[in-house]
Amino acid sequence: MINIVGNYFRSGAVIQVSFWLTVCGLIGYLAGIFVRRKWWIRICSHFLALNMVLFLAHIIISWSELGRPPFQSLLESLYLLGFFLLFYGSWTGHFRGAHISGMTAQALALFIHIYRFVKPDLEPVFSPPALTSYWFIPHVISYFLAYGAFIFSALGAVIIILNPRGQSWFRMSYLGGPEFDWDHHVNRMVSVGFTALTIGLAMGSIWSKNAWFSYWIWDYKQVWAVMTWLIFAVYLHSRYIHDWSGRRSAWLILLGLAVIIFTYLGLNFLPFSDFNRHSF
Amino acid sequence: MHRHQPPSTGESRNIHSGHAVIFCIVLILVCSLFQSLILSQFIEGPFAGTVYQSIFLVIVLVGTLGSAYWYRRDIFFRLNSLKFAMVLIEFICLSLLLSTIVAQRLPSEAYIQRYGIFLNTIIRSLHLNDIYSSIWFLALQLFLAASLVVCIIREKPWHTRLIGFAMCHAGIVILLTGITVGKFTTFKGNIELRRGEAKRTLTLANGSNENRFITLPFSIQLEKTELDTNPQRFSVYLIYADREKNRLKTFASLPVESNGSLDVYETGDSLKILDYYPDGGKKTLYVEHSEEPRISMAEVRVETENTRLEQRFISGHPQKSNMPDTTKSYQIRYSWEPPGDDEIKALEYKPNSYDTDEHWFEVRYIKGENKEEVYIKDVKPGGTYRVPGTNYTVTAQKYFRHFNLDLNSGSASDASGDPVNPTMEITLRNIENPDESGITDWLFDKNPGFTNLSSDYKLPFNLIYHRLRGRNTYRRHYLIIGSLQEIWLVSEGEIKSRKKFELNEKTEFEEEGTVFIVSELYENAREQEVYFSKSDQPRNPFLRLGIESGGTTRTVVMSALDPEPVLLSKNGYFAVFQPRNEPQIRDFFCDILLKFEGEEIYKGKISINDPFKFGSYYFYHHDFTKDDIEFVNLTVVYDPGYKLVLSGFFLLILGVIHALFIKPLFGEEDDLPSESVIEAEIDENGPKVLL
Repeated sequence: MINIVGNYFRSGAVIQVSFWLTVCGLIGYLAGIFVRRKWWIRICSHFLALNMVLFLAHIIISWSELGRPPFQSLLESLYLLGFFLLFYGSWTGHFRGAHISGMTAQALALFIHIYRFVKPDLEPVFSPPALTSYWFIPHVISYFLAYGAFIFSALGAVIIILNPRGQSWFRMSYLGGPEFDWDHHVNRMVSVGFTALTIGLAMGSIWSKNAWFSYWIWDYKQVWAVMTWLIFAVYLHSRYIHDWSGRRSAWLILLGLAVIIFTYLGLNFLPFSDFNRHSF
Repeated sequence: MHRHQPPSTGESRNIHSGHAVIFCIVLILVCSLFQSLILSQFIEGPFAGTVYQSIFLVIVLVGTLGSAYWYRRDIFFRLNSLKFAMVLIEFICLSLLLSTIVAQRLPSEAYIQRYGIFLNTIIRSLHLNDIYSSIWFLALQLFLAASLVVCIIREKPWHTRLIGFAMCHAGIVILLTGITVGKFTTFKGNIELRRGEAKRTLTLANGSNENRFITLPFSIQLEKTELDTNPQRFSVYLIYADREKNRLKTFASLPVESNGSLDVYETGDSLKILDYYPDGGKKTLYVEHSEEPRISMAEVRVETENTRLEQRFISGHPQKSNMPDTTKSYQIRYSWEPPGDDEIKALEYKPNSYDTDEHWFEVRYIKGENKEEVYIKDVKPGGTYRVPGTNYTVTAQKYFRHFNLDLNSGSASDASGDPVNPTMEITLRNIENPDESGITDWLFDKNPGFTNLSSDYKLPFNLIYHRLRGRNTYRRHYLIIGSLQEIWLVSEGEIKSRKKFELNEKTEFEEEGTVFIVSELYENAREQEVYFSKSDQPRNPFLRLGIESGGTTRTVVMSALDPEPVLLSKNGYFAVFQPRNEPQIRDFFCDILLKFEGEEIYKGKISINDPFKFGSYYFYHHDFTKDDIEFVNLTVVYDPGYKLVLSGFFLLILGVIHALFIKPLFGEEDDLPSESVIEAEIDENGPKVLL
């Protein structure tokens, strides 16, 4: 515990301010269920947008301090993911009126901050030379763009599965009201995510060819990454050709999210995952 | 309008997901069986090689397809069935899942150990131990590709509304084609090059003994290599010794290059990096000190062309100083009081150059019975020694450093004190006639064949004279005698120069190409130990760290090569200064020159992440060592499929963007391709849940 406080103090002003913005923003959203004022929710949206700016500022500052893109350790990549989550949350929350996205983004941002305070990077991680390619930046960014989109499509999928109907204030302002088409929204998010994933996969493959003279090396991370792609390809085909929608599609998205989480975090815990150039 | 010709009626023409699943299982079993029973014989046998593998693969596929066709004749029509493709994707996903559950490519004993005999049999017969290169996995992929092709052809992509859809699938097909083309036409070989060397023969990575080598149409020359390295960096690590869990936990670090400070909230200390010396050394500085006792001292720097020596001389204490280049040494004396004439007279310094010389005789017998090397060691001028195994004694009469023969008188003398031509005058006597005058001659160190005792005097042996040089062969002694007003430089008893200077004035003079600089003068010196950095290279990093706790500040000196924990104010917490674990090599560059019939055709650079491309040839680093960067092992890959793969990816991305973003803009999102209509028609049971 004492280390967590110490790590908070060692984190620098941007993170500290962002942490309190996250905490206040999340409490604000939760309190908004009871306060039931439009201006209250609007303040929460602004907290969210400000937090997004701070995440971006943190990324830019650490980029300039480290002299390399700050996406190499798990924690650094989480901040990139956090930025995209806050961006998607702001977008669907503020402009589309589904504030549950904003609340989710703040909750995940809080998780990222807490993770930082519990397990900070002791010092900058420097990757071996083969990972410092110019492909690295667009590859990683497009992947996290995709992961962020998939996380929000999974949020929509959960809402579709739970299928809350009705006209209560919570549903009006947090779920976007009856006219907010979650099915359509989820599909948009998957489209964004799938496009970014395809671009990321292509860039990763070309990078691999340039660094290891092979498009494809059968390591666990790559295998699972292509499984993610295949699952969302199945989703798109089932949707556009088989006319799937609603809960059935939603379950497919949750399956996709499970595979993503395993790809991103779980592979490090495989019993025989020996040296893996993707592991953190 | 874009509907297919509906297949002729009949229950057997309907394909359900279940049928596709059964088809896939049969495919896997047939392929596994084939690979185990037949193909493995060839892979290890004389027909090994990609061509044979591909022929057999085609046979397998044709066989499987044929049997499937025989069993259910509409399988080809169903290749474009989405359900079929989806089932294939599911099977591929499942096999990928299996490949992460079952450890891949281990030696066979490891599987028995890990999974037991029963599971091992299943794993090996289905090739689950190497899924990625098993035939059935390849067959699943090929069927998926075939399904895509049929899908594109059948969907009539010339309808603008389906452009994106067609582009995606065509992209994947092109991509897979490129990879397949690469797989069967590519060759990969290695070439070892030293800087300046040109070669054109590749050693293939997977060739058999007969065709291990391949000759390129051009030669590769390694022009230049360059290694880009990160300097080793260091940090102060804060560690907590957790006694309960019996482990050390590093909880924070302070990088040296940050040059900053760190508040340790856990202990209440505040750390600050005061100084960092990458190549640390310790020296004693003398500073002026006003208190008694008086120690008068001068710092004198002696510089020659190559070397530099800095030394402190305390008044009245003569000090000898050896120059690092060993040929010169100086005896410097600094005196605060002006020396009297008597003192100078007492200083007699002579060259003591050859004190450490040793003289040996090597005995070479004419009748080669004794083949061992025989030496008479440690010969002193004036001494008499028995030549082993003979009746002779040898007397070393006189040693000449610079042998000079006066031709008129026939007498030898030393031309100078320098060992230009070391020569030993010897006298040989027979033991039986000790009173005889014997044979007297000279043996020359630098010309051992000049005196041949066996042929000149009919002796049964030859003697070779060796002068073994001592380490400090040649010395000059300087003596500096100084005073407040004057420094005298005395060499070999002679006053070479006198230099007058004022109190506190620093002086400088030159003598025989050697510069003497009096850099500091102290009237009352005090010793102080300081750290300094000899260079910017982190060879021996030292750190001066200020630790503030509870209002008091202490300074500790930490060494990275000899890390010692520094305790912080709270029990169990300490700091260590250590090197960081990060890669040293940042990049490695090779400049390559391609020559065709002696003419330069292409110049390029290889870095770790960027191979150098020439036509369909790609040049990668395979290996290099930090110690000898002028020697590299390059991998040369010939891959004509690369551009195809690139364009496949490009088309795929464009297609996805078009299908998902551009097409909906024109409001056609709900206008679905024909498949759904057909599927609905065919599948009377309605759409099935696939997963």
